[in-house]
Amino acid sequence: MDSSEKYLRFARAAALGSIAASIVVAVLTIGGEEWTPLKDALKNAFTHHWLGKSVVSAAVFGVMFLLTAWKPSDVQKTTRALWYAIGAAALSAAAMTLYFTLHALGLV
Amino acid sequence: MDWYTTLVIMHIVGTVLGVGGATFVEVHLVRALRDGVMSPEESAIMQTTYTVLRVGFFLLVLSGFGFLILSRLSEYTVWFYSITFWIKLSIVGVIAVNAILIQLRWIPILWGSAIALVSWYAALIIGVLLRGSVDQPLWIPVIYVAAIIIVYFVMREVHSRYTKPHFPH
Amino acid sequence: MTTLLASALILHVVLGLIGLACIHFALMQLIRREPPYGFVSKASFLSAAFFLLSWATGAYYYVVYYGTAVKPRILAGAYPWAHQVMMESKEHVFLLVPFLVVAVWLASRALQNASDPRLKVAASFAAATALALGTLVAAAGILVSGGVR
Repeated sequence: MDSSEKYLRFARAAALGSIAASIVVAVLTIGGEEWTPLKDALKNAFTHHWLGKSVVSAAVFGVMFLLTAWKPSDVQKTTRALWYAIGAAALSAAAMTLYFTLHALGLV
Repeated sequence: MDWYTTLVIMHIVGTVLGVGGATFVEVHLVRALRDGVMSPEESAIMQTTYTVLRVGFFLLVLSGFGFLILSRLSEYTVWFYSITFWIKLSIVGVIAVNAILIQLRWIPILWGSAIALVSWYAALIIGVLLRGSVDQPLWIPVIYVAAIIIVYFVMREVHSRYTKPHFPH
Repeated sequence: MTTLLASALILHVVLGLIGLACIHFALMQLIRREPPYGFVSKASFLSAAFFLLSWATGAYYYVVYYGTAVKPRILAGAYPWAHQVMMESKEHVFLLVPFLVVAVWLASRALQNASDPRLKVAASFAAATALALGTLVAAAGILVSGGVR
């Protein structure tokens, strides 16, 4: 197996995992604030809601990585996945920060 | 030796390496470009100086956060919201971003040099000022920007007098 | 605060800073004309490792101590937004960074075997994004600590 192709697959898988984790963290965070049963479910399962988000995000990353790491990839696919990962992380961070700012101002 | 003293020494060493490194980057640059060409030996000296500068930067950031941790543990955190302190942190950020822009060649080298040199000295001076109190901290950014512009034109003059044509200003 | 909790807080900050330094180093090397991909790979791997350690130590301090002993003081103090905005944002944005850094590490391994300009640019921006997010998290941490009076 070509070593370069192997790492292209792994890099793409990690990027896809990062995308999934970014989306899940944002959904759990904003969703948990807006819908208390979700936050409570994380707390009940993991003793603390943030621990729950940590575990779930790591699990989502791991599962997505394992599901996609075997799929053949090339430079174009890996590059595109990385760009989407960058966008997902940036948007997720912006969305959560904006939400908490609006929440603190009493607007949401 | 207590932690505070250790951090002070580390911060001073970082400042010496960083400010000294930034100064010598400019000195070496002028010297290297006297003939308009940077030889491999001159380039190696520049790279070594950049490395020393980065080590200084790392020591400064680490010891700086060390001060913050010590203050947090002793619950003396009033100065965390000081405007002067955040101006200094912003300037540290400018140093880091400027380094990236210089590396990418997204900024003309003389502007990058002026920003780097002024930022290092500004961080040093503001660090000294932080030991007391600053009455009108909002003047600091104004003086900072003015200093960058002045230093740019001084550097341009120095380069035009002491170096041969090499790159756009 | 017990010695263990103080140690956890110190380690969380220091390990996070070293993680940031490593990804900064990786970025500075990545944007060179001919990056030393071996160094980039090691630096980004170390960055991911240090962020994970910072995550673990921060988690202990946060779960065991922050919620009951620190958060109420910030909320009752002059800067309640230090928790409501800064801490809430920081604790969640932090979760995004390690995974992105792992992607940078693996991309640099791929580049080590076969360089490609498009992948290099993407990896550079990924490293820059991780660095920017990490820096904002660190800055937020200063504001959170400053809100404890």
